[in-house]
Amino acid sequence: MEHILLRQAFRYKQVTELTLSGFDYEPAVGAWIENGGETYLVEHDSFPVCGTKKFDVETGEDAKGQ
Amino acid sequence: MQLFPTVLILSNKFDFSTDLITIQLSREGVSYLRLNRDQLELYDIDLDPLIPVLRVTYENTQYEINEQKLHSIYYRAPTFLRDIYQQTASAEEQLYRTQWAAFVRSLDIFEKVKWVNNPVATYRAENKPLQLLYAQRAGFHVPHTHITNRITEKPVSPVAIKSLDTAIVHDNDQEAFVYTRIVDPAEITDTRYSSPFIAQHALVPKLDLRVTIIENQLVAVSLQGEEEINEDWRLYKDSIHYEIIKLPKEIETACILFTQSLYLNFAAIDLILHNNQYFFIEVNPTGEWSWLQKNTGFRFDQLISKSLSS
Repeated sequence: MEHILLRQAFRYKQVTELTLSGFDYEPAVGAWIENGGETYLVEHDSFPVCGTKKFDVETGEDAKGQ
Repeated sequence: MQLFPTVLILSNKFDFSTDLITIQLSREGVSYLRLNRDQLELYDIDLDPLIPVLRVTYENTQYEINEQKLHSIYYRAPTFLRDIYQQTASAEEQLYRTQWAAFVRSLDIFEKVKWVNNPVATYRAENKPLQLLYAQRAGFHVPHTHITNRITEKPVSPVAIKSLDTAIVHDNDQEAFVYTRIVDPAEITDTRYSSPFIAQHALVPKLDLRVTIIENQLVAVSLQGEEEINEDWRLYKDSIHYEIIKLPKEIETACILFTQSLYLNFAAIDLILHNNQYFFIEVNPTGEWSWLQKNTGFRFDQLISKSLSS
């Protein structure tokens, strides 16, 4: 019999890679910044991620495993 | 150029909540260094464990991290303590994962600084049965709970079925995530399953509450659906109304006591209000907060940054 946890699992397509066009990660600052600009990604109007949780993919809140 | 950071951050490149912290620290003029676990090969890194001192060089900048200058470490990284022998990875990749993971653990030698949170404390606090025991000791109501692989007695009321640890599995080219589900007694059969799970007395109807604790500061948010939510609220997160609320003093005290009992400086506690009583459900020592900031306007980033820099 299928495990009671798997019976009720939410299934979704795996996100294998995240690309962020128009922004670069700046190691000296420790944040993503718009190319050729000064706007931080997380403060950009088009940035929705922080309003959801981890791109709408559940990871148990953090990436606990490696 | 040589810098002496007062805050060290361990994260990964795509952890955008960490961006909010670095931006806030930068605006406050706090000296910090963010090291991403997925980019550690970009740096020259040298750790002397006996002083202890960590020297990190990136391009023309050298960062020296020592306990005289360092106030805190913000640890946004996994807590599984070993990562060995991954047959699907290349030899080079296996070494990257095991040896850098060990290096990150090595930073525990900075014993005198504030950790948010120390991974050893996080690892222990992620033990759900221990959470329930400590929550009860702190004065919380706790739902009647069994950790089992077989329910032999037919329950008389609905049961909340949940995983004992975060359960994300790969299944037929998909990922599957196990949310908490309310199961009707009629669906429970006497079956011995291949692995254990949590079976908990279901508290319905309910109001979900998320309490975020940063040291002695506490922010409680109620999560209310357009319709009554009896199951895991995360299944309805796009239609939830978020509201900052004031908890009764004794519940606030229990939250703080509980968090301190697990040696955590940060905690995200899930509570349920059921029949006018507050029940402890679980704590996530590495819980997310930026989605609450986005949805309530409360500046969690400022609170965390203040904790890290003071």
